[in-house]
Amino acid sequence: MRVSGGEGCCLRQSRMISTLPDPYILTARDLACRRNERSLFAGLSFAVSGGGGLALTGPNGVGKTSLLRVLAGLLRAEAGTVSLAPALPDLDLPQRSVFVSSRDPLKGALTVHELLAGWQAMVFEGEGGSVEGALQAFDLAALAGVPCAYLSSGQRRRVSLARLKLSTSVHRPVWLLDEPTNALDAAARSRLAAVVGDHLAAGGMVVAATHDPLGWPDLAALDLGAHVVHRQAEVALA
Amino acid sequence: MSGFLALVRRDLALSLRIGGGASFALVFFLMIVTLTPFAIGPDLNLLARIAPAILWIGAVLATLIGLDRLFQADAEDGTLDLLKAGRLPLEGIVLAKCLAHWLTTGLPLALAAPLFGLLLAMEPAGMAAAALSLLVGTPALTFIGAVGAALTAGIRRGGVLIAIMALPLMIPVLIFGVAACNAAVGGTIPFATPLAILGALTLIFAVIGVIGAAAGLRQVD
Repeated sequence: MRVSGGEGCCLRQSRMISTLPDPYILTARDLACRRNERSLFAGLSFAVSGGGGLALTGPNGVGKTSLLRVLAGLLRAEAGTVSLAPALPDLDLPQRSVFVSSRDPLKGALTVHELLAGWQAMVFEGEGGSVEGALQAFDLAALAGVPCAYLSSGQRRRVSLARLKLSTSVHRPVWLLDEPTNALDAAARSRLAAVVGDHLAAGGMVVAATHDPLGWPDLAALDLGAHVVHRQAEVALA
Repeated sequence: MSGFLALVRRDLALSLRIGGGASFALVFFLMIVTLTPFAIGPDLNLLARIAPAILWIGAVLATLIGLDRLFQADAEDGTLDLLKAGRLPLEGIVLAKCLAHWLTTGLPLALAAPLFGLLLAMEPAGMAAAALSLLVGTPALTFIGAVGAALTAGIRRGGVLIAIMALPLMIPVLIFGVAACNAAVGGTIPFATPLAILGALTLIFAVIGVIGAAAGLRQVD
């Protein structure tokens, strides 16, 4: 399966050619994943090129989050490989991607600004993003001095997503988003769409697991349900 | 390096703020030291003789406080996933968190030891020796505990498991820590001998603990 953003994406790539000599291509080959003795998916191959993206769909428990964790280098695939071209020395996929999981890594005792400044210093040092830019992108400037313990779930989600702007599309071209629009209101959703749009325009790519239609352009759909292992066995058991 | 320092600073800030538990270990240490004279009775000579043992057992038990959340808190809320995406290797993450844990646990215990020695009728030389031996030996306790903390990071209520895993490994540190205190107030061996061994134990466990805990954290997914 080959996924790309269509003609619009190629136009963008040619426009970006001065800053990005080669478009980024994320390739997964024959991925198989197993969690707790249960096979989730097998024989999964796809390619995503810069400026495009992939929307992972499928029923609960089908392995969307596990696939994202494999792509983020946090979970070892049972078989298969994931690679990002062009390859860089010393930097593996985890250091060239931003993974926003469905859990919000917020510390109640720290203020939003302290938290983001900490993330920038610990993880995204020298990657060209700024805390102020991240706060601005997700309309968090008014909450900068508020301890994370006092935030609502939608606000927590926005703080969690703000890490996307702590790096740049050149340093971390791969964005892996797990249910990114959960708990977000309409305004926050459109802000996220704008941030993702900027990222795609800069040659980055997005892989998002979702149940709701995201409404982002240039995203191809991948139904993980079609790659489930033992689905027939489960049906037979039922 | 700046990522390392940022992580140390963040962990210190988290433990020093409300609910962070930086003072728990010290208060627990004080409790053990205060309870013992009540249990033993008004025999000051006996108390002074076993004072180093009480201080060191107190330090070993107090170190266990907070160890269960050392990695678990970050593993639960996804911070660990985020840290793994940085350039700091997992060993660096472990070392930074151990350093922050020691600064809020072992270091206050060592500094408070002379004061608490008063409660145990220690001689001034014994108090100084206790403080110095705790200063040298408590990092080893943190590093040993870190391995247990990493192995139980994905388990709820892993605190007891950490104690069961870590306490046997802490025995050598306990032996040479108490031996150093005793050597300072009498005995046949010079003070420097057990203290040097204690320092060696800290260095050995710094290596084993950091590598072991990082290996344990790699399995958390």
